[in-house]
Order: sequence, then structure tokens, then C-alpha cells
Amino acid sequence: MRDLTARLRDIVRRESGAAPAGAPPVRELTVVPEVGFDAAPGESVAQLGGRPVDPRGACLQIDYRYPGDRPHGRRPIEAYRLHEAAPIALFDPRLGRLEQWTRRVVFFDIETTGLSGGAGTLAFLVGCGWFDDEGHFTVRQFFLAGPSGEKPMLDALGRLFDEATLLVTYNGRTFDVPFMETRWAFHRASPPTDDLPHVDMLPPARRLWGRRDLARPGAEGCSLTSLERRVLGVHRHDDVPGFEIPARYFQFLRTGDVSLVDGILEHNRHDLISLAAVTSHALWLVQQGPEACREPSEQLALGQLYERAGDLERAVAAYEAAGRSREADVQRLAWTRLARLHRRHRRYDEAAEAWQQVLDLVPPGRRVLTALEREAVEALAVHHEHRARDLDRARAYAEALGAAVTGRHAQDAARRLTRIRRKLAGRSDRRLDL
Amino acid sequence: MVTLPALTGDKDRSLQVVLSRLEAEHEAALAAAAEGRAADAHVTAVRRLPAAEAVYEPFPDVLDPRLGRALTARGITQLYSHQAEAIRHALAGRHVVVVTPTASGKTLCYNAPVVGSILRDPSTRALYLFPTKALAQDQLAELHQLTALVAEEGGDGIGVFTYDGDTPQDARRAIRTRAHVVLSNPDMLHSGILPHHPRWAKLFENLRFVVIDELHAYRGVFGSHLANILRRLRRICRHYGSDPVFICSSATIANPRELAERLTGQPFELVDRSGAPRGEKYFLFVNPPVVNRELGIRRSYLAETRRIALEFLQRGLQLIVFAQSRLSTEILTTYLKDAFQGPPGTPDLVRGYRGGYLPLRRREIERDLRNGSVRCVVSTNALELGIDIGALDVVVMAGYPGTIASTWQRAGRAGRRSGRSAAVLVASSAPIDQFVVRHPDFFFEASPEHALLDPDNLHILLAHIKCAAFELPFTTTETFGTLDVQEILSILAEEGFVHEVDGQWQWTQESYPADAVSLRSVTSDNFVVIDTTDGERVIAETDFTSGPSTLHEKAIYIVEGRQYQVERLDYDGRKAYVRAVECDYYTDAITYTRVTILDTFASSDADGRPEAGPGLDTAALAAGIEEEDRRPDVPSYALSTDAPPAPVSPGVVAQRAHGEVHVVSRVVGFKKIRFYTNENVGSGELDLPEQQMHTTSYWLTIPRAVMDALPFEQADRRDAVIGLAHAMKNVAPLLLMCDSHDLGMSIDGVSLEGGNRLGGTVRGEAPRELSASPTIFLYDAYPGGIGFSEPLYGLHEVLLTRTLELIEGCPCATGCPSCVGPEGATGPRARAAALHLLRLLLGTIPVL
Repeated sequence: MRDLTARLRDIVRRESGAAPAGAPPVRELTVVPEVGFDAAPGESVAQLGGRPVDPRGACLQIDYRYPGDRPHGRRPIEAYRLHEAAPIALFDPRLGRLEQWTRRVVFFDIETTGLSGGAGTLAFLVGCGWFDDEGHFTVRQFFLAGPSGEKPMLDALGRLFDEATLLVTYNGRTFDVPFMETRWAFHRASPPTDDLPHVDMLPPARRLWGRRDLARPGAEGCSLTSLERRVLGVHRHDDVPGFEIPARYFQFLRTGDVSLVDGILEHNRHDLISLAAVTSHALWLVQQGPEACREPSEQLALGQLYERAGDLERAVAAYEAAGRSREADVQRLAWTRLARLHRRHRRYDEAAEAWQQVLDLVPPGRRVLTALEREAVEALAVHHEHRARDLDRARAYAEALGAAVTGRHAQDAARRLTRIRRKLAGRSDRRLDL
Repeated sequence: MVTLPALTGDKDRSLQVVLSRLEAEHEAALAAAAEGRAADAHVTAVRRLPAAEAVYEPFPDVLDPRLGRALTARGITQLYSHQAEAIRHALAGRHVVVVTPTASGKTLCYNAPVVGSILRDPSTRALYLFPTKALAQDQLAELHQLTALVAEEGGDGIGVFTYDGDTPQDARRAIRTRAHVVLSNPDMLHSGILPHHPRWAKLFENLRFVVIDELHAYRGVFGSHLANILRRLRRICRHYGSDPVFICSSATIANPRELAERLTGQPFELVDRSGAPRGEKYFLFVNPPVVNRELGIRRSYLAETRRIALEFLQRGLQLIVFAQSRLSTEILTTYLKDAFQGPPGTPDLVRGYRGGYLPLRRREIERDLRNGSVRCVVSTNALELGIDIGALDVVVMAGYPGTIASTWQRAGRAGRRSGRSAAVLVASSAPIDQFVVRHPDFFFEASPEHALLDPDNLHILLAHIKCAAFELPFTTTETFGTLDVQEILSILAEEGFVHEVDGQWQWTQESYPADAVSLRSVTSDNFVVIDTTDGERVIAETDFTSGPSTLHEKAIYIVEGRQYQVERLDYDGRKAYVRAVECDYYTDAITYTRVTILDTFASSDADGRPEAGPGLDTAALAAGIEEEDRRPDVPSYALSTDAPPAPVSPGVVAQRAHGEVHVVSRVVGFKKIRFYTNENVGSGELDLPEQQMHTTSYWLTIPRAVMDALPFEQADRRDAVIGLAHAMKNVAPLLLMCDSHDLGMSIDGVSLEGGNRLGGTVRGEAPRELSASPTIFLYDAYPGGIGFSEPLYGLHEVLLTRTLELIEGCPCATGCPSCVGPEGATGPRARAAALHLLRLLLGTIPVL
């Protein structure tokens, strides 16, 4: 019989080598399987500078303390501490009223061996960061030198979470937290995250800084790395790109080369400090209000955050500030939202003013209207026909609307115009009678 | 236009009338045959299967009384004996396989223990696997009915849900936590449940029963996949501390217990004595009359099916007609609808039914069959499996379903608990059909086929070891089922799939291995067919291996009766661009196949003596890595049907062998063949890449002495070999219970165009070359082999005998597609020469 090992090898190679057409390029680093590393896991990772969590050293705890006066971007780390008075609940209405929530805010970020999920994907690095009373920032990382370290890691993490008053993540509501919950389930343990308040900073960050970014060509999205550069003024050097991380870890497992991991640990720590800084900066902005913003789009986002939280006065102020800015895209949106807000609260004259602001932004001579502008014209036609009862202006708006729309909208506009004209005619008839 | 009589009245009488007419035809045929002339219609067999009384047993004491009351409310006051037996086994924790005829109440065999156990302990969970989504839906309705009745009897709410590709994403989370019973299929278990087992922790921690319905569907490649998926399932269960009992139900096959044990790796109790009552049943074989004796052409079996179906329909009987393909289903539906169109606005009395119809439409047809408003349904094998359509009066099969088991299964669709029913098989001109219909005893007396599978096929095994390693790291001492997989894991480690650390093999890839494995075809790689007639639109797909032969340039590709011509084949991009055409021909590819022997597992010499014994297991793993000192839970079966291989009778002289081979095939050209007349109206040459595969094969070498003893010219001797190979290729699936596409055939030592297709004419500089000792290969058409070769080796003599019977019994004069292949591919003496060759091989004519 032909050598079975050779046959197996043949099949494995053929099936792994032949990438199907259209598959994404292989991103793995070159594998060097020959470099065996015989040392026990504990020995190799001792070089990472941590202490073993379990007797075998399959899980390693690595603590870092960043002094409060160390700068991160434009400000020192201690400046990013969160204060009890900060309106954190604005970021997630589900939080409700929190008492003493700043006692231990844990910033949380994991690195995994893949994004596909499923039982075979591990969080090999779990990072937690918090401020101590002196304003220093402590990062505690749990690192898996081997898969048997996962249970001790989860136990240690559970103890850490038990102390926490609030969990802050970046995209953690869809990724990090559910991911960790399946790991607890894998080990048949109940997850300690069930009753832990959690703020995912991605949605508010998108609101505050996502729009501006996407409006520009070459937009970078709303990744933490791009935020920290644009918002905090932080520039990373020699950062490990996220897509390389799984392959580096696999390579480390095969070779024991800890230099592959150093960069990942650094990347993760950096993410945690930036997460804290971004959170703090976002809270500072919400607290300070529109005057503190450097960008009109931030003012617009503040308006939305306030409005959602029911703080109408501040919402109006924020929208007005954004409306007075010099970025037409932001202005248009700000006035529209303001107008809708006013109308919803039956402040029709203020609403009409805001709608008019939208139209004032239309360059003279442009006939075609955008969707927001059509909405404004239509709202103004309604307003002047039914509320202000200024039929001449109502007719002007209705005519402008009729010229700008087609199809079903054009029919509606024509009907409106006919009605206004009839009313106008009736009025003049009556005058004649007089 | 004919109006149908009402569905009431004396059905037994009506049936009797039609049967006596057909029986008269049978006798006329016998008489005609005796006088040497052809009869008009040829009923070749009429068998009467007697009625059987019901055998009842009371509800077993172990069953929860609330369930008993619920069943009583449904009119079930006692159980059939087989139901009670199965329930007792399952509740006692013994794995059980129930072999049940259609309509014998098989679902209660598993629903009773499952629902009963949930009532006793609400944390109990069960997983049901069905081969198709439609069957799961069918069972969902039935289970809902039962759980509603149980709830009325004071049972708590029992959550029953299907979980398959159609389940909405937002419903999945709720199902994972709330379902007591999850109805799914192997594909979903493989790619949607097992890889995400932590999310299903509650199910796996409490999994007490795994139900596998339609067990006989899991043979060949599909079965080999399922066996490995179940190995993975049992690993996950162990991880969560559960050890479920398997309850399987199967149609009648020869080896239900063996199949269950091979699929699950567990010992099984067999329940195969049905306690359900059975009415009297008649079984008839019909062979359409020959219209052209020279060419061996018979009257269309579809027309014959139509005639017979009409006889029954006109007498107020309800029937199901089984067709062999989607196309013939549509043709027969049209024929029968044309004959019985009701007044406008009334519901259709005749309906078609096949895969591809929307689920809603199928449910409607099933319902109307049950309530009698549909009088006749024409179906593909889609209705062969246990979908509830009630008991019909008559089954007409247009063409032999391919296996004995499947034929009985379809025949079982007719049969009321009391009163008569009938099943009629109308043979097509395919060799298998002709063999069966001319040898009724073979069918009625033979045991149904063995279901074969090979869980240790290296390709399949490797794919699932990857999946298993992803789901739960293997330890360095762990086995997979009973297989030692450490060597495989070290090879996977070499290639970077896993890495050994802490005594575990950790998965070290970002990818998700289950995505790359498809259970229903050879590889997940396939060709898509893009219609460019009007924009671009994907109209079909075909698996990788059959791509070149069906999608080469200028090929006519047929979808639901519409013809398309392939304009361009993008081989690397796996796309074929086609355009709709109308033409009166189809194309047949000429494939050149060469088989090289790599390794002989066993062989016997010209005298039939084994040279290498059966001690060598085809399960290729045995050589290196089967553990020796650890006795597996289930004895490792030889794959053969009658292991060990029977020694051949004295006098049989062919050298037989089986082993591992390398098959290279290449599509070298094609022929254009006119519809109906089958004339060859053109051809073309093609240059397509070779396809290669390692697989297992059975082969027969014709000794030089036998070739020399053939009293024919060289050309006829060549035709004898080709004809023999053609007939063997057609008989082998009959013996193996496999699809004819599961086997490939090649002849070594005979120059013929088209290799295993046997259709070509000889071209080139070596015409009609013939080696002194040619070899016929029948190989597994699946990389790595799927376990057909060793049984064929064991069945060598039976195969030759059956092949002789096929050719002998064929009424054609010189050879026809039903025996040694169409005239034209072989010469005028092909039939005679092949018969002589077979007699020499079987020793009925001595080799001098």
C-alpha cells in the first residue's frame, strides 16, 4: 500500500493550496513550521514581563501603569478621567440612572484569532484599563500562551468584571461582549457581563465624527485609530495593523517568538488609552455644548444626542450653532432637524424660520431641489396655506415645488397649487363683491 | 374530454376490474411468447401480496400518562407492536433503528419517547435530522398537533422549532434557548450548529435524543459525511456532558442495523417486525412492446405509463405516478392533464410535484391529496420519502427507480390499511429496467440492497477532522470515533491548520473550515451556467467533475426542457456562458479515460484463488493509524455486502482484483445526436484540461487464454469486451444500491474512441487494436473511493452471472442499448461475442 502519510499530505496540500477563484488574498505571514520551540509556554512568555495566572503559565497577566502626567495627544492622560457628573447616559439611553458609576470604569478590548466567530476562534488577548484615584491609567492584559489558559483567563476576567461599575467598549455591543459570552458558554460558565452596565462608544463616535469623515474623498471610516489622530491628535508609530494580528499570534504559537506578540500587546494597550480618551473627549463635548466644538458636524451631532435624551433647549442651541456654521451640508441638516423638532413641539413659526434657512442655502439660479429642500418647500407651502394663511406666499412655495418635482409628487404639488389658486380667486371675488 | 367518476364506490371492485384486464394481458403475453409472436402489451409479472392483521400492544408503563391521554384524545388507544418495542428501547437508553413500511406510524416511534421524556423532565432536549427541509416542515406540523394535545392534558408548553437555512436570523437566538425539539438537517448541523456550539450550550447539555429519520437516505457520499458529522456531534455532547440516545427510522434495506451502527459508531437494537395492518396488494411489471426488433426499440414507456394510469383514473381510483426525472414528470403531468381537464374554475384533478416547486404549492398539493380533491399526482422521487399524503389506491412507476429498496418504498405509497391496492412498474428501455422486468424473481425474491458508506474516506475524513479541530481542540490522546487521528493532526500541523500546545491541537487558521465543505457534492467547487440571451442571469450550476462534459463549448445544455448552447466556457473562472437556442439535437461528450493501478488490495488469479487476502482493509487508514490494542465500540466492518469476499466457483476464470487507482479523464470531443432518431448528425473536437483523481476500483482482467478461445475475428472480440463492459457497468449499480453515476468505467487494452462512453467510432492510426489480455475497470466516481470496489470484488461471480442474464434475456438480435450498447458503437456480432466471452469467463464453456 502506498505510503499513507504521503497521501494524506497530498490531499491536505492540494485542498489548502488551491484557493478558489475570487477568494481574498491570503494574508498570513509566511509560515516557518520547522522552527520548533520546545520550552514550556511559561518560559517563553516570561519575556513578555507578566506573571502567570495559572500554575502552568498558559495564561499570563501583564500589568502596565501609565502615569497621569504622560501626554496622550494634546492632553495628559489624567485629563481623560471621567467624572461622576458627566452625562454618560446620553450615549446609551438603556443605561438609565447610574449611581457612583465612576468608581471603576473598565475600558475593554479584545484581540481574536479571527473575525468569523464560531467555537474555534479565541480571544487570545483581553485588555482592561481603568483610572486609579491618582489619575494614573492601569492596563491589565490577559494573554493566552496556550489554549488551556482560557479557563483561568475567564475566571480572572470575571473577578475583574465583578469589581467594575461600568464597561466601556468600542463596537463591544456587537463584537467583544457577545464574543466573550460564547467563551464563557464554551466553558459552561455563566457570563459575568449579564448585569454589568455597558456603553459602546462606536455609535456616539459615529454620530460625532463619522459624518464629517465620510463626506470627504478618501474617508477612513470611524476606526479608533483614525479617530485618535483626528480628534485627539495622537500619531501611532510602528503599530501592528489589525488584519495581521491573528497570523502573528499563530506564528508565535508555532515558533515561540515573543517579538511577534509585543506589538500586539502594545497595540491593545494603545487602543485602551485612546478609547478612554475618546470617551472622555466625547463626554467633555456634550457637557460643554456647541461652543466647545471644533467642527460644525460635532455641533450637529450634539443636537441629535441632546434631542434623543429629551434635552430640547440644548438641542435647539446646538442645531442653531451648527446652522450658523459655514458648511452648507451640515447647515442644511441642522436647520432641517431643528425645523422638525420645532414642528413636533407645535412651534410652527420657529419651524417655518428654520425651513426658510434651508432654502436660503440654495444658491441663486439652481432649480433642482434636493430631498431636504423639497421637504422644506413643501412644509413652508403647508405652513403658509394653513397656519400663517398667507396665500400669496403659499402660492409661491407651491409653484417652486411644482417646478422641482416630477411624477406623483408633481401631481400632489399641482393639486395643492390649484387649491391655493382657487382660494386666492375666491378671496378676490369676495373683494370684488364688496 | 372524460369526466371522472367520484372517488367513492367500491374501490376494491374497481381495482379488480383493471387488474383482471392487465392480468389477461399477462396471460395473452405468456401465450404469445409460447407461440413465438409479440404480444400487444407485455405484462411480465403479476404478484399478489397477502393482507396482514394488526398486532397491538398497550401503552408501555414507562410512558408519561399525560401523553397516553393525549394520544387517546387523538383516537390512538393502543400501539402497534413495533411502536411499543421501539419506545421501550429508547426510554431504556438503547439506540434503536426501526424499519417501517410506509404508513405504519413510524413517527410515534420517536415522538412518543421524546415528548414523554420532556414531560417528565422539561430540561430534556432532542434533535431531529431529516434529509430535506420539506420533511422537517412536515414533522413540525405533526409535532405541533401532538404537543397541543399534550398541553390540554396538563403538560407544560413544549417548544418545537425547525432550524435550517430558511430560519430568520432574528428568530435563531430564541430557538437556541427555547426549543425542546430542534428539527434540522445534516447540512445545518454541520455548518450552522456544531461550529457555534457554545451558543447551543443549553441544547447540548441536555440532549437526550437524536432522531435520524429516513436513515436509508444516508448512503454513499452523503452518508459518509453524516457519519463524520455525528462523530463531531458526539464529541461536542461529551464536552457538555451528555450522551444522547439515537432513534433512527429506515425504509426496508438489507442492512439497517449495520447502517445505523456505521453512521453513529454505536450498537443498535433493530425493530423490524411491523405490527401495522396491511391490505392486500398486487404488484405488476409491464414491459412496453417492441416496435423495432432489429434496433431493439420499444414503445415509449411514458406513453405506456399514461395508458395504464388512465385505466385506473377512469375507474375512480386515486393514484400517484412516479417519474424518473423532472422532465418526464412534466411530460406525464401534461399527458394526464390533457386527458382529464375538469370544467374551468374547478381545482385540478391531476397535479405535478417535484423539487423546485415553491413550498406553499407543495403543501397545497399534499393537502389536496389527503382530502381527495387531487386524484392523481405525478412526482419525482420527492414524494418517495415520508411526506404525509395519505394512503392512495395505486402507484404507477414510469421506469425502474434504480434500486429494490426504492421500488418497495414507492410501491408503499399505495396501500390502505384494509382493502386492495396495486403497484405497477413500467420498464423503460434502460438495461437495468429490462433486466428487472424480465427477471421478476430477481426483484421479488432478492433482499433489498445494502446501503454502503465509507466514513473513513480520506477526503471526507480530513475535511471533518478540520471542522472538529475548530469546534473543540483535539487532545494528543484523543480519537475521532474509534480512529486514531494523531497522524492526521500532525500533517495538518505541518500545513499550519493546527498547532500542538499544552497537549492539545489548537486550530490556527482565521478561516472557518465548515464553509469549505459541502455535503451534497464532491467538492464545493462548481461551475455556474450563465444565460446571456437577455442580460446575464445564472440559470443552473453543475458540480466540478461533470462541468467539462456538459458545459464544453458548443454543448447543448438543457434546463426544464429549454435548450441552451454553450458559447464560452471560462474553465478557471468556473463559468459557462450560454444562449437560448432551438435545435433538434443534443450533444454527448466523448471522454477519454485512462486508469492506472497504483496499489492492489486484493486479487485472485485465473483459478480464482486469492493472492492477497481480505485482511487488507479498504479503509485506507487501517494501515497506519487504526489503534491495535483498543477494541472499537463497534466492530470494524469490512465494507462488502457479504464479507469476506466469497471465493469464486471452480471454473470461473477471470482474474479479479480491487485496489487503488489513478484516473485521468479528459473530454476530447462531442457528438451531436438528433432527438427521437438518435442519429449522429455531427461532431467536434475539444481541448479541455485533464481531470485527475485517486480512487478505488474493482477490475477484471480477461486472461489471454480466454481471449484466444473466442471463436471470432479481432474486431468482434473487441466488441465482445466493450459489450461486456457496457453491460457490467449497468448491472453493477443494481447489485450495489448506488446511483449509476457513482461508478465510472474504463477499459484498458482496447483502443476505442471515447473510453468509457463507448459511443465513438474508431479514429486514428491504431484501429481496433486489442491487447492480448484486456482489463475492465469499474471505479468509484469519487476521489478516495466510497466503498463500492471491495463489494464488487466480492460480488464478482454474481456480477458476471447477472450480466449474462441481462444479455441473454435481451430480445434484440445483434445488440442494443439495453444490453451490449447501441448498434453502431459495436459491430453486428457484439452480442453473440459478448455472450460467448461471458460463458468462457463463467466456465460454462471450457477454455481449451
